[in-house]
Amino acid sequence: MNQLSKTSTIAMSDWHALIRQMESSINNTILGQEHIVRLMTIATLSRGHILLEGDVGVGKTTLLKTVAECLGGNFERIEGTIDLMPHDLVYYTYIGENGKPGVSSGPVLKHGDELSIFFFNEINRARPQVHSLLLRIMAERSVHAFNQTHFFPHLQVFADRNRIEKDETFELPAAARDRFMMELHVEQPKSEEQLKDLMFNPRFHDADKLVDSADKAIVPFQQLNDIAAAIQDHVHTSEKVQDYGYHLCRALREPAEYGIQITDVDTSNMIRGGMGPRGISYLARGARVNAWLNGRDALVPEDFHMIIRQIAKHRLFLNPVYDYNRDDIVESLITAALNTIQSP
Amino acid sequence: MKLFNTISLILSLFLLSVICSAETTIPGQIIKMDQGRSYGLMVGDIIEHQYLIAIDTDYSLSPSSLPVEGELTYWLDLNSVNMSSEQRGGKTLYHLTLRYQTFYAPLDVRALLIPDQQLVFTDSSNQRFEITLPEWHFTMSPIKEVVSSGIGNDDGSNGFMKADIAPRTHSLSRYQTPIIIYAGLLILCLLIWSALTGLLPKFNTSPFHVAKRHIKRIRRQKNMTSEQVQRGMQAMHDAFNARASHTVFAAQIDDFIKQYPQFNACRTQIEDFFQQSRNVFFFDEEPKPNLLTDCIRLCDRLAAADKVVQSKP
Repeated sequence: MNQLSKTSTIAMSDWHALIRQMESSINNTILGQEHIVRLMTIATLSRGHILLEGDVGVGKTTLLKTVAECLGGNFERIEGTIDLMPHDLVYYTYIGENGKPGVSSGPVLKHGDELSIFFFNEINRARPQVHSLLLRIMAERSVHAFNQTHFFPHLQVFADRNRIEKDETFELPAAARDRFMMELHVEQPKSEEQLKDLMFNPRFHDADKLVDSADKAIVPFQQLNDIAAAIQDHVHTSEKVQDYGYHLCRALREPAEYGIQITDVDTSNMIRGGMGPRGISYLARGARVNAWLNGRDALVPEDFHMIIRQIAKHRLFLNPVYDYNRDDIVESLITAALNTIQSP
Repeated sequence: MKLFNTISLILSLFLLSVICSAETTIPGQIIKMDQGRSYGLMVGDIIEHQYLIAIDTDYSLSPSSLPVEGELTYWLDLNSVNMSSEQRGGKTLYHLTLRYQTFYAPLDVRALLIPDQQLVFTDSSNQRFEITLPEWHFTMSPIKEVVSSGIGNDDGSNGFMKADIAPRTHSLSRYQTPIIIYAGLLILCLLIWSALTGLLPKFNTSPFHVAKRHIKRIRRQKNMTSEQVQRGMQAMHDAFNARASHTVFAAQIDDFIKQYPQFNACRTQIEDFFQQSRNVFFFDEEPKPNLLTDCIRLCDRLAAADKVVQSKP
């Protein structure tokens, strides 16, 4: 299982070099986000969609644009606004030069099945109707328009939202959040040296130029599905690690069964839902990719640890009485599950 | 004279018959009473009078005629009045018990009197019949002499004081066995509780010691399978988890040693164990032949390191 399928031309061993090059290029462009970049690489190689959130001006959009540039392929972007409607993603109408009305493909359809990255900026500013259309695009990688179904086999959706501003925003429904493989929280770099660099180095003052300076199309996006599938085949999961992964996910849904206790929380009545089949599948896929990125052909528990927070946090839905302190409680739950579930 | 004697005899017989006939018409009487000793009573003594009264069943005792409990005089209290009745041979028998207490403090022997009491019985036609509980004379004695005979010699009031009476001891032998059993159980529970809460560090066996025993048991078996080796390695992992109070993974060895620096000398062996564990459990490799021996050796070293730390104040 060292070679990709017949449709791929790059040997699997060479993909390591390409991925390293891609990560290096992104890290040279975006300072202090090495961990986030690694998680985005894992999501990309797991063919999962990514939602970035964080404070204003920490570089979410720049990071997504840079990753999109490095991945290559056709890239489309749309800004979430309160008056954006689902059809704005599919088509737009105009009056042509001849004075006649015309209809053209919107950002989703424009590139057909060559669409690689769809970047939805400020997703929480769009209405739920738009979120609804996005659900199908993300889950099925297809959309029905002009009396036919259009497929986007290489599509990966990147979205971002800021957590500071809440006016005129629409919280993403649980179903939409579940379709994002990872929800990544971007913080500004902590290193003094990096912050000084961002502050005084003119290279970082113009975001467009900065993104443009990144290496482009480092990985062949048409082969991402193949390498993703090959990685899943390549990385072996022993019975013990499967047991561990299963119990880890179950402990997140049924913490009381595992004797997990959290201060001031009734753990037998705290979880309303979450970490369903899609979530646990993403966890296993991401863990396998992490193992492969670390040069292993077998999964170990630490591969789950690498991504469990980014995959589980937005999928766990608490009893409303605990929602006031959701972030802390979910973090405590995940930490307790990691400390409780035993593994060789 | 002979005639006089004859007349006297006739009159006596007549009177006797009158008396006898009168007696037969009395509906009831006191047929037995016990008033106790009537002399040598002292202040605070209880005086108990018991009466057994027989009366025709037509009559019944009027409760309001019973003496009322309480203070009768400044020196005499009636503490209780108990009355019960039963039917026997066409009569009603009343058992009456009066308990007095005297507080009279005489300076010398003094005769006193408890006055008589009338009990009223009535029948269905409201006919009354009274029975008198007779008055009772008795004498009370002082507890001590008015002037101590030894007061002139003692130069104080100690002459009046008597030595304390030694308290009587009660035998506790019948409680002894249950007390010993319950005390033993209590101590045992306290010890278990202390051990569980870690208050008995000296009795805290290192988890690596436990793991060593477990692995040794496995190693004694003939034709060891890889599953048995895995159980031995799992025991080792359990020891690490127990020591850290959470699951320890290979990536957390640095944190583990930072938390328990006594194991720093064994870092290489710990890392090697975790690598071997990965190979066996996750990479499906066959365990090395001497793996359990290495585990036992590592357990020895880690348990010894644990012991040194525990013995430190």
